[in-house]
Amino acid sequence: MSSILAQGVISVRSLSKRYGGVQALDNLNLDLERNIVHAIVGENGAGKSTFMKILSGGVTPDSGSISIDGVSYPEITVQLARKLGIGIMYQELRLFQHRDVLTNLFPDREIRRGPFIARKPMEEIAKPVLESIGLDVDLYATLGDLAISDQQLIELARVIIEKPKLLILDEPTSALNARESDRLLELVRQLPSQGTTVLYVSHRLDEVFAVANQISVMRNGSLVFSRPTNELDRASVIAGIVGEEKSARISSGAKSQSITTNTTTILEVKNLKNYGQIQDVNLTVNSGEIVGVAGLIGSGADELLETLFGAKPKSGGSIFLEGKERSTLSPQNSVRDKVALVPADRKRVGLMMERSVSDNLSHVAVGGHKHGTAIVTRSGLATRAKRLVERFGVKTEHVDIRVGNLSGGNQQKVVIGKWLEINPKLVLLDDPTRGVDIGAKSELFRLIREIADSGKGVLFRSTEIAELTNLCDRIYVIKNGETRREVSEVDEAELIKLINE
Amino acid sequence: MTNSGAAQGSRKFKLPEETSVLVALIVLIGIVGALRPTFLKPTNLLNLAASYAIAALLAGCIVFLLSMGEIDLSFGWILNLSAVLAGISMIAGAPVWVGIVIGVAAGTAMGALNGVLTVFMRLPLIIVTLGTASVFQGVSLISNNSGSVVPTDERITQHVFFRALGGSIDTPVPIILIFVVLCFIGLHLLLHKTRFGYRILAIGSNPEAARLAGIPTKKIKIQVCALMGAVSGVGGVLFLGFRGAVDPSTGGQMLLPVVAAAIIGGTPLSGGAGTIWGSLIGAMIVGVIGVGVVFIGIDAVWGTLVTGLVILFAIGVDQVVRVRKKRAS
Repeated sequence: MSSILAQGVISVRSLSKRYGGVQALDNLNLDLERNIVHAIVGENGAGKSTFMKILSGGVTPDSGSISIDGVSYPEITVQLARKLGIGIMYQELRLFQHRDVLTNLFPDREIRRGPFIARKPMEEIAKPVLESIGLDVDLYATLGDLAISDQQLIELARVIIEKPKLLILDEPTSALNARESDRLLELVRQLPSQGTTVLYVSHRLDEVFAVANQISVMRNGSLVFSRPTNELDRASVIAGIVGEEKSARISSGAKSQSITTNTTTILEVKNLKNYGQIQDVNLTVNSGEIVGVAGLIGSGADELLETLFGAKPKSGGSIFLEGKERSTLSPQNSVRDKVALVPADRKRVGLMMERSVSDNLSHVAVGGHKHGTAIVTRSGLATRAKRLVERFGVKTEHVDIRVGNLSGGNQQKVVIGKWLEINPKLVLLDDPTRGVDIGAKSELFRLIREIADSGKGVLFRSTEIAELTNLCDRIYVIKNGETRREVSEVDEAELIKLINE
Repeated sequence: MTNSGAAQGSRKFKLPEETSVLVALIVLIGIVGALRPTFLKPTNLLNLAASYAIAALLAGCIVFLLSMGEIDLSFGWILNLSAVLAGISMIAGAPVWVGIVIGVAAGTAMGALNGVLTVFMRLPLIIVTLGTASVFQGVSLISNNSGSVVPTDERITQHVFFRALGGSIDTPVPIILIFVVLCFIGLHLLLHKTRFGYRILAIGSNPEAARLAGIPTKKIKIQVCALMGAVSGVGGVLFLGFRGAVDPSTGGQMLLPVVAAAIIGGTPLSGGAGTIWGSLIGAMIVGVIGVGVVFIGIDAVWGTLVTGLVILFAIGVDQVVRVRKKRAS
C-alpha cells in the first residue's frame, strides 16, 4: 500500500494509538491523494475517528508519522492543523447555541476594523458559502432556534469558509433528510475542483459510492485496502469491512440455546411515532429473547429505546407491556412497570460519575423504585452493592470507589446491575458496548444472554453490526424511522446491505 | 469537601470529612482565646453560639439545596415575612401557638412557591429566588407599613415561648441552642439516612441520570424548596421569640453568613454532596470570626472582610484537594 504514491498530499506511516486496553490504531499506513474525495469506511471501533482526531490535532499518536507536502510531523497540534489548512466537521455539533449564525461562522476569527467587529465583510464572505450549501437562514438568527439539520449545515459552512486544503467530514449527513443529503453530496463533489481534498467518513455506503473517488477500508485500526471507487463494488467493500475472521473475536455461542417452550409476548409496539425521527415502528419482543435494532445514525434506531422508555416523548402509536397498554410514558412509570433502560451515553446520563459504586447501584432501587423502607443506611447500600458486584463480576477494589474510576465495561455492569436489582420484565440496551474493550464485551454479552434466559425480554440496539448478528435472535432493520424488515440468521455482510438498502 | 490528607489515606481508618473544619474552628477559638482569655468563658461561648443559632439552622438547611445543585437567595426574606406574619397575628389577638403555626406555615408556602416556580418555569432556583426575594420583602414591608413588629402585650411577652427563648428561664444551655442541635440531628438523618436524602444527592450528582433512574425530580425539588421555606419559617419564629421583635431589615443580611457557613463546612456548590454537621461547624466559624474580631479589638467593619477571606481560603483548599484527588486516581 505504501508503494502507491509517495507524493500524496498526506501520507501516514505506521501510525498507532492505544486507549487503555484498546488498540485504536494499529500500524496504519495510508496515502491521501490531492484534490479528490477520499472515503474511509469501517465498523465502529475500526479506528476511523481516532485517525481523524489525530489528523485534525485533537489526539497525539503513540508512534508513527504523518507527512504533509513532504514535511514529516510526529504529531499535529490544533494550531498546526489550522496553519496547514486542515478543517474538520464533527459528527457532534460544536456550535455556540446562544449566539447568532454569523458569530458561529467565524469562531474566534472575526474580521475586525480597529477594535470593532466588522459584520459587513463577514456577511459578504458568509452569504455565498451558505448559498452554495443551499442553506437559507437569517445570519442574525440565534443558532439554537434553528433545526438540527440547519445547524449541521452551518457547521459545514463554518469549515468551508476557511477554505481548507484538507476537509474532514465525519458522518456529515447524519441529521439531514434525503434532499439535504443530496445537496450536501453535490457540494462535496465540487470541493476538489476548488482546491480542497476531502476525507469523507460515513457508514452509508450509497453516499460513499456516490461521492468518493477513492475508498479506504479500515478494520481493527489498520488499513484493509485503498482503491479507486471505479475498481470496487459494494460486495467487496462490505467484505473488507467485515473481514474474514469476523465473529471469532466476539464470543460465539451467545445465541439462545433452547427454544423456550412457553414464551410470552413482553413488548408489542404498534405504529410508534415521536417528535423526532421515528415515523412508524412496529415490533414485538418475547420473553427469553434478545431482539436487535439495526439502523444508521439518524434512521430513528438511535431514538427508539429512549422513546420506548419514556425519556423522549412519543407522538403517536401504542406500546403494550405484557398485553397492557402503557399510555403515559415517563421514566418514573417505566420503573413502576419494570422497564429498564441502559442509555447510550453512559457517562453523561447513565451514572453519577463522582459517586461511589455503592451509591450508583442503589440508583434505581432506592431512588426510582417506590417499594421498601424510606430509611437508607450506608450498610444497607453497601450490602446491596456487594451482592450486585459479586453477581455481575464488577471488577472493583471495594464498593466505596468512585464509579468514574472503573473501566468502561465495569461501569456498564454497574448500570445494568442497578436496573436488574428491581427485576425488570423488559431490558432496553442502547448501544451498551460503547467504549468497552473487547474482553469486557464478551462478558457483557454473556450477561445479556443470561438476562434473556431468565425470562426477560431484551431489546438491544448496537452501532456495531457484528454484535447484532452474533447476539440477537431476531433483528429489526429501521430506515427513515420505519421498521422495514425483520430478519433472523443473517450474517454481517447481509445486514450491512439491508441497512444501506 | 475540605478533606485533609489523612482523610483520604487508608480506608479502614478514615476520619470524618468534617475533621478539618472542626480543627479550623478549634484553632480559631484558640487564637482569639489566647489574645483575649475572657472569650473562652463558657457563658460567652454559649451566648455566641446562641446568637448564631438561627443562621446555623438555615445553613444546615441550605445544604439540602446545595446538595441538589441549587441555591435559594430568598430564605432571609422568607424568615423576615414569616416572623412578621407570626408577630402580627399574635398582636391581632391570636394565641401565641397559633402565631407560631402561621409563621411556619407561611414559610413553607413561600418555599413551595419557589419550588413550583423553578419547576414550571424550568429556571434555576437562583434566578427564581432573585425575584421572589424582593416579592417577600415587599409583602413584608406592606404588611406592617415598613415598621417594626414589637409584641408588647404581656399575654405574649410572658408566654413560655418568649420567656424560654428570650432567656428569662434559666437553663445551663440556652434553649435555642438545644432546639437547633436537635434540628441538626433531624436534618442530618434526613439527608443521609432516608430515601428522600438519597434522591436529593442523586439529583445533585447528575440530574438527567436521576430522571432516567425514575426519580421524581420535580416533586423532590418542590419538596426541598418547601423544606427550606419551612426551616426559614421556624427561623423567623425563633427570631421573634429570641429577640422579641422583628424589624424590616431582619433577615436581609443573612445570605452571606449562611451560604458561607455551608461552603466553609465543606458542601460544594456543584451538587451531589453535602455535610450537615460541617455546616454547623462552618456557622460557628463564621460566628467566631464575626465576634472574635470585635473581641480582639479590631473594628467590627473588618469582620466582613475576614469572613470573605476565610470563604476564599476554604473554597481554594477544597478545589486544590479535589484536583489532587482527581489526578491521583
